[in-house]
Amino acid sequence: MPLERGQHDLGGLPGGPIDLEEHELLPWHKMVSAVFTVMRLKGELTTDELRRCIEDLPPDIYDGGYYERWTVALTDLMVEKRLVTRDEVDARMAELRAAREAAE
Amino acid sequence: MTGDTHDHGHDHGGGPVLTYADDSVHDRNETGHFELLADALKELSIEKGLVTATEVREYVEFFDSRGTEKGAEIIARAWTDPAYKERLLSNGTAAAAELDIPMAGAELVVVENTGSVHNVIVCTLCSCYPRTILGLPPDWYKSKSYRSRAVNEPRAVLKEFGTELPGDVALRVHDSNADMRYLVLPKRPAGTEDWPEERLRELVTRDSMIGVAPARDPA
Repeated sequence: MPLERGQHDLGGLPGGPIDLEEHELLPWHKMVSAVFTVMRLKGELTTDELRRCIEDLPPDIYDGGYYERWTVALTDLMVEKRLVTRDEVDARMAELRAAREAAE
Repeated sequence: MTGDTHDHGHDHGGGPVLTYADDSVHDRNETGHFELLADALKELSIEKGLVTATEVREYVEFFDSRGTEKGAEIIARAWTDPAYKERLLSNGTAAAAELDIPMAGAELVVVENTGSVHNVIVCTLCSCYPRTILGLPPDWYKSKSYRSRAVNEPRAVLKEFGTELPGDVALRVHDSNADMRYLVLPKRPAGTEDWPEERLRELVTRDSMIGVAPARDPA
């Protein structure tokens, strides 16, 4: 049996025209990159580990935006390494959402 | 093999063409869900002592400040200093370190464009890019179209960037990975023989160091 091609393994597949428009990064894109980079430099996690988590994402997330992919994969990796728990993340998101809605 | 050649999920005539409405350039964050997740991760990481708020802020500043200047510095040095160019082509990581440019754990391989060979860089598997040299990658570099097509129809891809290569110029495509990053040493533009290094830097563009375009024409 030939190996099944992973969703990340795009080389040589047919594709459409390339969108050459340049976009500014949003502040949260840079922030999540910075959180990852600092943890990588401290040896908490590695680039290859994040790459594996990106490759293992559910297809709908993998097909989403680049930093969305990164953020979900970083969460998965931090949970896997027991740096945080899923419950802590969910609880903090609920708090932040409530605080944001109260401010609106 | 089962001998069944008609039911294996792809046909070679009109196979599925990847769609790009879902691509990296499109932010599906309308509801704020992913930004909220990123904020939660940051706060928890700080509270658990994994990172400090200062470290995160400093790296955001670093991303904001780092463009393609370091790359231009490397290329202009190689154009004007043959001994440096030789070191750069034989050990890119060490030659970058000479200019105080770190490679953040990956090896740097520099490939030279000449009258007979043109090089272009891609990362088909993700979006590996020499960030410490060129800053954060442009959206198109991360797009599925570029990642999929750059390896099997690179001349057509270059044409979309306005770059038409003569048929007798060999085209080499280099696929980066998490441990190895490539940088293209573009051809030095004609008519710049007496230019000093500082002025040459202005001709070195991001796209010329990825290989999708030549260096700027001095004219």
